[in-house]
Amino acid sequence: MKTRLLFILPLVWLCLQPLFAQDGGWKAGVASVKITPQQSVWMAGYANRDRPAEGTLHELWAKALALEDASGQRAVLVTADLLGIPQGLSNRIRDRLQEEMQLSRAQVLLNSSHTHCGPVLEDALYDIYPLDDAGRLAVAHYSAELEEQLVTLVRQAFADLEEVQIFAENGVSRFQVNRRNNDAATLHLQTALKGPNDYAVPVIKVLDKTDRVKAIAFGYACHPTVLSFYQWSGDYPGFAQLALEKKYPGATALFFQGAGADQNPLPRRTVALARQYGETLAAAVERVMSEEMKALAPELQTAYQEVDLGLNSPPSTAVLREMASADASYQQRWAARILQESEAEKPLPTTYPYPLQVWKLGDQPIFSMGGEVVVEYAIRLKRIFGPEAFVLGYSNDVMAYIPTATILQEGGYEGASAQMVYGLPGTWSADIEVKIMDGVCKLAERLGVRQVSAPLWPE
Amino acid sequence: MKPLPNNLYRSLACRWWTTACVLLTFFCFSACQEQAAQLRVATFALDASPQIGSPVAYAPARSIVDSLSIRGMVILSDEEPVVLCAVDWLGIANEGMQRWKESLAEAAGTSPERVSVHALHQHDGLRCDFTVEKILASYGLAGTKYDTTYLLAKIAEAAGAVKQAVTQAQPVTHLGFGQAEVQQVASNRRILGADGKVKLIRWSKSTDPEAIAAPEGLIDPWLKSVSFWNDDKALAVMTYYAVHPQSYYGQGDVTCEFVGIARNRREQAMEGVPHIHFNGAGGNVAAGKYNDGSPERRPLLAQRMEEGMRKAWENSIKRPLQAEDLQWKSVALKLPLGKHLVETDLRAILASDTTTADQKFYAAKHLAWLLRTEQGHQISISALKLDNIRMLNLPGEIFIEYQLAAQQMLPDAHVVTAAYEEYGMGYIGTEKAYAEGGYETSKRASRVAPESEKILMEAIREVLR
Repeated sequence: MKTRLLFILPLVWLCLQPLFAQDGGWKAGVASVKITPQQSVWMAGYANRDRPAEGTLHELWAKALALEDASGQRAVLVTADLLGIPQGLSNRIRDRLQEEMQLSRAQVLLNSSHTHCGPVLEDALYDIYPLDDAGRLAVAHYSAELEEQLVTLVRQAFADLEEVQIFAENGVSRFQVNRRNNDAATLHLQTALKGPNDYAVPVIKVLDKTDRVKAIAFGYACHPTVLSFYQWSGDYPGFAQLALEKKYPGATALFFQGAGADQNPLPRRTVALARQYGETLAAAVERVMSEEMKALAPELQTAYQEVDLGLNSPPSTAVLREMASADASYQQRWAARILQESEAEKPLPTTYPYPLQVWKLGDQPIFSMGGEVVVEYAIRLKRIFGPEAFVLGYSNDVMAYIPTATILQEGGYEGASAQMVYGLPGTWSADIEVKIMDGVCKLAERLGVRQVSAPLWPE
Repeated sequence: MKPLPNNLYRSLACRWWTTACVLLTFFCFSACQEQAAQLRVATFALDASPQIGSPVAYAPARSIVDSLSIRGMVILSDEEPVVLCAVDWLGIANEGMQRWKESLAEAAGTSPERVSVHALHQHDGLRCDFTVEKILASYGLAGTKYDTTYLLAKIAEAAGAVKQAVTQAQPVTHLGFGQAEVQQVASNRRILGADGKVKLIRWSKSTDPEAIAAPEGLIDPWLKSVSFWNDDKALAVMTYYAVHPQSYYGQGDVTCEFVGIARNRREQAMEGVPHIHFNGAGGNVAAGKYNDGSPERRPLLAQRMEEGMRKAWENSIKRPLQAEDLQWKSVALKLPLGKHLVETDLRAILASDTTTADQKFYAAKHLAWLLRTEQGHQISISALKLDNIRMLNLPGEIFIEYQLAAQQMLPDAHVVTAAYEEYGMGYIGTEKAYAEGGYETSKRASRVAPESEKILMEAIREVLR
């Protein structure tokens, strides 16, 4: 009998061991910092604003969710109520995180909500704002301060690491409207909206040891352009975060923007509407949180690469001269600057290093891309990797709109003229979509993200 | 009554029943065997004209002058069914061809290897290639060359027609074969100079006196006709002739051209006996010597074709046909790629904002063929043997030399050739033609290497064996 027990006990121990191995799970930490400018600064996003901000509807926030898996692999998601973190600022922050905290580019995800009621940042969209020197200086000061705040934020989030459980699931909310294919002015007459859309509400739920909600990271693919006034505001994502933090006291709610470059919240322009969309989104998140969510195994993988996207040449000198001599506008300022640079024989960029990032939390894939990514990319990625995938735009660098090849060909704002808003010398080259999809698929392959259908043509 | 005789009676009755059942089963089995061995054919036909405004080969369709059609036959025997199909389109390629074969195979209850789908290559007909469309779409040029929704719907409709046809198959007792020379339609496109190089290209239409004066050159003058009979009732006729079917084209005035017009007239003259026409290996054969591109020439060329079809029919000799006379042979192979197909170069053309739409389209076609070949997709060479007839199926815009060589391989049999099956590789010249210059073997027009000839000839020999 004793001999038999000697055999059985180790087996029982082996079977039960995973149940007791609690210290081999996820760890997560959160931190938040108020980033509402304290001085007078111009607001980002619209070319027609003619003065700096005049007040605050609600505070702007930057938040961080630090993650560590069972094997000690780390990553951090930073979200912010900003139009977009431009390349220079993003690189400075990520370089410092590499240097000070040994976090590689793959491990850091900087996403901005794209609110149009946040501050202008250094070296971003300068052609569209009629800033004077004082205005530029204020932007520079704010940007330098923001850099410090975001680095500190990440450090605080990692200092807060504790044992947690992490869950993921997609919800749904339908207030986005494809703005290329539906006319806002006559929308009230339409009985059916035209796509494409992606109504998913990706949700990550973080529970602490006492099953209290510690963090909710959630997203949506839609421009936060309900508001266009002179008050600091997170727009609908700001309202959504406030609603969730009220619903789950003590929890940190982080909003990340999806591939919502061609999606608008319609109708828009009133605070009540921004609140409505925010609370609608929060309700969608709450529904997901209250139902069973997929528990993620404590395995974190991250991958990152920059692909060189080609830029076409600017229009001819004659066309530029004509544009530059027109009445003052962002197109006029852009043409004048490009002309000046080409006359000074300053070489114009022909490519742009475009950031792509893939994370895998357990078996949950998260795809992040730079720039204002149109919704079709999310649709395509979900076709390849399954509808449960999370897709983020506006991540790690916001340098321009990222159209599909078809939208590029069609032109319009997202396909062509927005390049001037961003100050780029020409439109993207026609292989933009091929390069991005190929790049993402390669990163995903590296992490072993499961494909549910054949990836690219030809099948 | 005593039980014994009763039992005996019952026993005898039982034996009688057993014997009757055994005999009946044997009889049924033999009858079924005979039924299974009986060759049957089912024909199908449906319209294949594009919608006005949707892209045809060189322009959006602006009028339907002569409607296009899909015509085919399912051949049923004790083997898996064979499907032969001819479509009044420019060409069917890559995943377009794959879809066609898979859909018709499923509908006929056979395997895609036993389905052969051919275009007739009319230049105001449609293109069908989902691979090139995907490539164009990924570079923002979706829908410029293909109406995918229509194409998919049409393939599904054709599959439905096949399914329906099979239920109405009719027995075949005899097979007819006849041939006749077609006068003043075909001429070789490549006129060689004294140095052995192509000095003049004689396109489908020509007003150049030198091109018109030059001899016809290498063609196959024979229009061949195969007819299927149930005793005295003609069930269907298939004709084969190798020539580019162009009189004039390019404005989107959709037409089945002189070959289709001749076919339709013959069908009318034959009081509705289904007529399926296939284009032969006419990659380097066109009507240029006899066609100046004026509108009057189309009916004239149609008349000459019709005349050839009529004579071939009248010359036909019927022979009894058994199911064991049928044999299908198919060889899957990969043709060596043209050296000019370099993925990075092709992608650069597609990405550039200085290349033309035409350059991008050719780059997409090259890239599609390159990627499909590299992914291991193969093309098929096949032949259906019916008695002393071999119905050979060849890919691409293949040169007449292949058709003539196939006939020479089996001098005692009648070899009929249908080309323009897989269209993805473009033209297929002979090995020496690649060194002689001209359009067909140029980097634009052909995506295979000169070494393809040996592989193809060997495959033809194999399927005709």
